[in-house]
Parts: sequence; structure tokens; C-alpha cells
Amino acid sequence: MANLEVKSQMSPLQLAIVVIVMVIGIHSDTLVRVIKDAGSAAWLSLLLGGGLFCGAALVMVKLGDLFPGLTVVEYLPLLWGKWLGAAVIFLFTVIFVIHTSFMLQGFSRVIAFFMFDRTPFEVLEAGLLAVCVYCALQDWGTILRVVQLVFFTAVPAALGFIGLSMVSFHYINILPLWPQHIQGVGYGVWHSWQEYFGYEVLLMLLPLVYRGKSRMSLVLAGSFAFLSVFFVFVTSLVIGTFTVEGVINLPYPLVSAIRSADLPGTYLERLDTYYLLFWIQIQFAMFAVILYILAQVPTRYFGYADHRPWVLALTPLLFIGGDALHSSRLYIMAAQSSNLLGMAFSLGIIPASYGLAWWRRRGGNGANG
Amino acid sequence: MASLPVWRRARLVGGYLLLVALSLALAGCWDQAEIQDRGFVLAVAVDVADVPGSQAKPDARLESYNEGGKNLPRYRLSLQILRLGGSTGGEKIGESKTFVISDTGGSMFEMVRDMLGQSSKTIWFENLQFIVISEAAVRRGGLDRVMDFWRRDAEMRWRAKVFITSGEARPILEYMPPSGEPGGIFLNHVARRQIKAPQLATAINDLLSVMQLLDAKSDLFLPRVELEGKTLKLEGAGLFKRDQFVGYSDEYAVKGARIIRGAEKSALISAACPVHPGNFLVFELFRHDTRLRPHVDGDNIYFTLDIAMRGNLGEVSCQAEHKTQSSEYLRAAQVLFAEEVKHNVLYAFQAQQKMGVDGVGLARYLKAYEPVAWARIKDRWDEIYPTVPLIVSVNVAIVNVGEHQ
Repeated sequence: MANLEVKSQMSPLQLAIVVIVMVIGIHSDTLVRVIKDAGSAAWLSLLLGGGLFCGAALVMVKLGDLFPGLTVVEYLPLLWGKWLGAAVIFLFTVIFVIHTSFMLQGFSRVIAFFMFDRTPFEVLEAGLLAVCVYCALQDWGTILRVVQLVFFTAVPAALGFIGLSMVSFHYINILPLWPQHIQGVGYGVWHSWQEYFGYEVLLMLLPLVYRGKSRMSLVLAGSFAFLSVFFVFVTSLVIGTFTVEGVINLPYPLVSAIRSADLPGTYLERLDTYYLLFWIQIQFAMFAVILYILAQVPTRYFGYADHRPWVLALTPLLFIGGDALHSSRLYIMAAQSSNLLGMAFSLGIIPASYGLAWWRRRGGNGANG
Repeated sequence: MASLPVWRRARLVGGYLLLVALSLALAGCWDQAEIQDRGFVLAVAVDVADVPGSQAKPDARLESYNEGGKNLPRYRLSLQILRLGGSTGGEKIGESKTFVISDTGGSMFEMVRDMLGQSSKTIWFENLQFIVISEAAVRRGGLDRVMDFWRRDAEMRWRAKVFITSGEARPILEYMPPSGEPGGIFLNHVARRQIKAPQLATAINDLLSVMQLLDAKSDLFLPRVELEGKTLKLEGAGLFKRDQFVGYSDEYAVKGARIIRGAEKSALISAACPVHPGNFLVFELFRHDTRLRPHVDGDNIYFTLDIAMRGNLGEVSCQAEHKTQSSEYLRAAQVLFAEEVKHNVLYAFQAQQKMGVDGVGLARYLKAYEPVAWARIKDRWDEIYPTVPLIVSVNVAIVNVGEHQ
């Protein structure tokens, strides 16, 4: 009987599933920022953001294609030299550490507010990290199966509960659809990075993808199309439920929108509790993948065979990072700084790396020819 | 087991011990509370603290608490709590299924916490059915001030209804419904009857809607509940300019306002028979298509309301004198009903214009469909609104006359 756990490769479709699970669980409290910028035209910011980050992801794939079998950690020093390459890898790690800390703090805020108001944040963060560490210590094959299980069970259930909140939707609230201030839409695109964060795992996972009949670019573009439609739907839903002015006053508009639908007569009448049960599973899969990816960076860079010691070494860093963001000022600052660094990385460094690699290859061909 | 090496036996025993330890740790959560230890709040009443006569009550001093000398507008908060089966068991006839406790102070949250001094159970709002606020309380500090705690706390239900009453609110919590239901559930269920009763202003009066309207700085109306003797009834609505109470509108105006918004699911439209004085005919609405649209023509702003209604003839007091199935009769009846709808709509609209309250939400329509014009006039909307014309067009189609001609 085949040992499914040691499976270390995946199809492009499975990679697309990983990207969707990574991105779909993040939206809880970052939506407000985009709506604050773009108002009722937030849908346009999210669509444009989806296109922009899809373009960035496709450049990542093209870059990976130039270095078959290597991750970003291995080919960046070849491209930029030892020190500059190390600096870019460090930046990649820093973006993940800062934004994961931000999300961990956000997770504990949501759970403490809606479910366990007396439970200390530290306990919630440590509890989530403990199960994520257990998952991240496994081989990629096992982690991939967890992600797939979450994708086929928790994601549809969460989407179902989100859909139920349509009962409170009022079409007039989402009008006017067309933007009144183009500048606001632009700011919205900038902040939509926080919605789409997570696709950067591609850079580490590409060597694990075997290229069969399905076209990598097409499948990836499909996952971004799905995510863009999802974000447009969720944004329209919360604005249609609360109005733009209302959403801006809510820290967690999506959970609040789901609260508006209830099942009278049952013990758990409010659907937000059910939704959060599935959202926690998505968060679990997302944090497990992040831990695995973060552990793979030093493992590959320093040439270790086993990623597990690095999972254990990095977990306290994330815990301390997440717990350090209790202050709202630091919490917002973490989101802003990771947003800035993430945009610079995805839209600056990666395209520049691809340009450099392409130029060198072209120069090499010219020399050989 | 005996055949296993020592290290494997030790690992097995260790595993069992770990499992037992985990089971103990997972047996309950950090925040657990047993259901019988919770005081389920079904309804909330907000009054002013100095209701005439209430200070004379012997328990007035105990209901108050020391808030550190802050000079805040003072309210009296009352909670209707579900009486869960007592130790003696059984239910006595005529005994209420709920009890009411009150507290006075400036902050709603502090009053709730001070009420723990009167309750053996934790106060639990997840089953809250309605909030009723007295006119005096909203006049004291505005609706926003009174509502803040209820929309901020995660325990509240968005679907809890919000009412206004002209008198004292606490007696509404003490009301014992003839159906035997707990009072909070009774009034919440009465509010749901709005589907067949457009004169009830309870289609958009839940906590979510009130929060949405307050956030958007829109005018709004809250359903009015009144208790007289042994009769509790929803009648009309209280109108608010932003969060400030302005006055009441009657049931006919509420019905008209709901028709303008297209918020009615069903309605009865009655008209006097023009042939037989003292007689009438009634139309029962089943479906409608209502379109309220703003129009901007230079500096002129006006609204059009196009209504198409379909339904049945529900009652004709002089039916013996008419052939109700004849096309002539039905055509004439349709015109009569259309005129009545138009009259009702304009009655409601003009009543709100006179009070300067945009309860229908014309500003929202202007903002949604004519954003450029809205941006130009939004600061002057309060001046413009009382003069804005509404052009009404109604088309009624009678599709059935019932089981009898």
C-alpha cells in the first residue's frame, strides 16, 4: 500500500487550492481598510488588486521556471549575489513574520471578542500555534492533505454561512457602484495586498509542482479569479448590510454581517458562532502552511535536510510577535509596514529579479550563439 | 502486554496517562457557564431615572449606585429575565414566566453590572428579544446615547427589535401576555406580524437597522408600543431627525411610508363605494413592484414613485348591488384602489415633510442614484427636503375576486 504521507509533489491544481486556502481566511478585519479608502467602489479596488497580484504571481511562476527545482531561497543568491540575495531572503522572511504576527493577533482578537471573552489572548494564540506546529512538523504531503480537507469541507461551509447573511442585504446600500474618487480606488488597491497576502508561498512551493497537462498559469489565474469574485461578493455583502458609513464603524464587518442572520429556536441561534468554527479551521490550515514555509527558508538556505527543528525554533518568534501587538498602534503599524514591504517585494523585487534573470539568460544565449 | 519490552510498556502507559490528562483539560472551556446559571434577558426597558412617582418607591435608593460623582443624565434600566423552573417545580396559574429588575445610572453598561447585585445568575443577553425606550429617555440624551451599549456589546442580537413608548417603558416588561408566553417573546412575535400588517412599523426596526441608520446619520422611525390597562398594542411610529426625537406618526402614515419604500409584503387597501354611500370595498395585496427614483433637472430635484400592485378583491360590503366579476366593475374598482394608495402615500410623505423627517430615506436614494447631485446638495438637504415633490403613479390589477362573486 502506498504511503500517502511521504508524497512530496503536487499538481498545479493542488497549488491553486493552497493559494485559495491561504488567502481566503485573511479577510476578516482587513476589509474595512479597503472600504474606508474606496467607499462603495471597494469592489473595483479588489478586482484591480486581484489582477495586479495575479500578475505578480505569474511573474513568480515565470521566475521559478528559469530555475527549475530551486526555491526563491536558492536562486536569489545566484541572481543578486551572496549578500544582496541574503538581504532579499531576509526581507521575504520579515514580511511573513510581521504579517503572520498581525494575523495571529487578529485571530485572537476575533475569537476573544465573539467566543471566549475571558480567555487571555496568549492562551488563544498558543493553542492555535500548538496544533499548527503539530501539522507543520509533518511532510508536505500530509500538510497538503490537511489543506485539501479544509478546502473541501470548511471553505464551502464558511461560504454557506457568509451567503446566509444575504438576508440583510439591501441593494441600494451598495450604490453608486461607479467610483466617485479614483484616488480612493487607488489607495484601496494598495491596501488590498492585505487581502491577497499568502500567494507569496508560491516562491517556496513551485519546485514541488509537477507540470502535467494542466497549464500552471491558467490554473493560478483561475484561483485569483475565484478569490477576486469572493472578495467582491464579501465586500458587496457587508456594504449592502451596513452601508459604507456603517462598515467603517465596525472592526469585524463580515462576522457582524453573519450575526444578522439567526436561527430562532435553536440553542446556537446566532450563525456567527457556526461560521467561526469553520473559519478557525481555515486559519489552522493557513498558519500551518506559513509555519512550514517559514521553516523551509532557513532549512534550504543553510542546507539542512530536516525542516522540523526550524518549525520549533520559529514558533516562539511568531508567538512573541503576535502577542506584542496588543497595542492598537503597534497592530496597525504592523499591518502598514508588512503592506509596504509586501508591495515592494511583489511588485518591485520579484519583477526586477525576473528581468535580471531574463537579461542574463538572453546575454548568455547571445554569448553562446 | 507482558511480552512487550519495558520501554514500549512505559510508552503505552505514558500515552494513556497523557490521554486522561488531555480529557480532563478538555472537559470544559475557560469561559463555560451552565445554562441554569444564566439569567436570560428577554427584554430591556430604558426610562429616565426620575419618572414621577418612582423616587417615592421604597426600592428607589437601592436601585441606584455610586458612580463617583459624575454628573450624567440619569436613566432607569430595567431587564426582563426568564424565570427558569424553581425548586418547588410546577407552574402556577397566573404566575409570570419572567421577572423584572431595575437600576438607575448614567451608563447602560454600569447599570447592567450593578444589577448583578440583585441577581443570583449572570446576566445573559444572547436571547434578547426587544428594547423599548421611553420618549422621555430619548428626549433626555438622544437615541445614539441610549443605543451605544446595545450595538457595541457582542452578546446582543442584531435581530432584537427596538421600540419607543410615550409613557413609562418598564410596565411593558411587566405585562403578562394572555397567551402565557414570556413577555419578551410575545412582543417580538407581535412585531413579526408586520408581514400581513403594513401599519406596523416593525419591518426595519431591529438593532441592525437602527445601527445602520444611526451610522449613516439618516432620519429614522421606531415602532411605537403602548400599554393601556390590560391591552398592549403596536400603533404608529416615533420619528427621529438623526437621533433626536421629533414626534409620532399614526398607523395610516406608517402604512403609506412602507408602501413608498416597497417594504410591505401584504396590505389591505380600502375605498369607499362611490355608488352606495356608507359602503366600502377592500383589496388584498399579494405582489407589488415599487420603484422610487430621484430625478435631477438642473437645480430641481424631484422623485417619482411607480407602483404596480396585484391582488384580490377581499371584501365588498355592497356586493349584492354589484357584479364583482364584470370587467366594468373590476376596472372601476382598480381605479378606486389606485387613488386610495396614492392618497395614503402622499398623506405619509407630506406628514414626514411637515415634521422635517426624511423617514422614507429619500437622501439614500439620491446618494445612490444621483451621487454627483447629492455631493452638491448634501449640506443643504435639510432645507431642500421639505420642498421636494413626489410624483406618484399607481396601477392596481385585481386578479381574483375570492370564492364568491
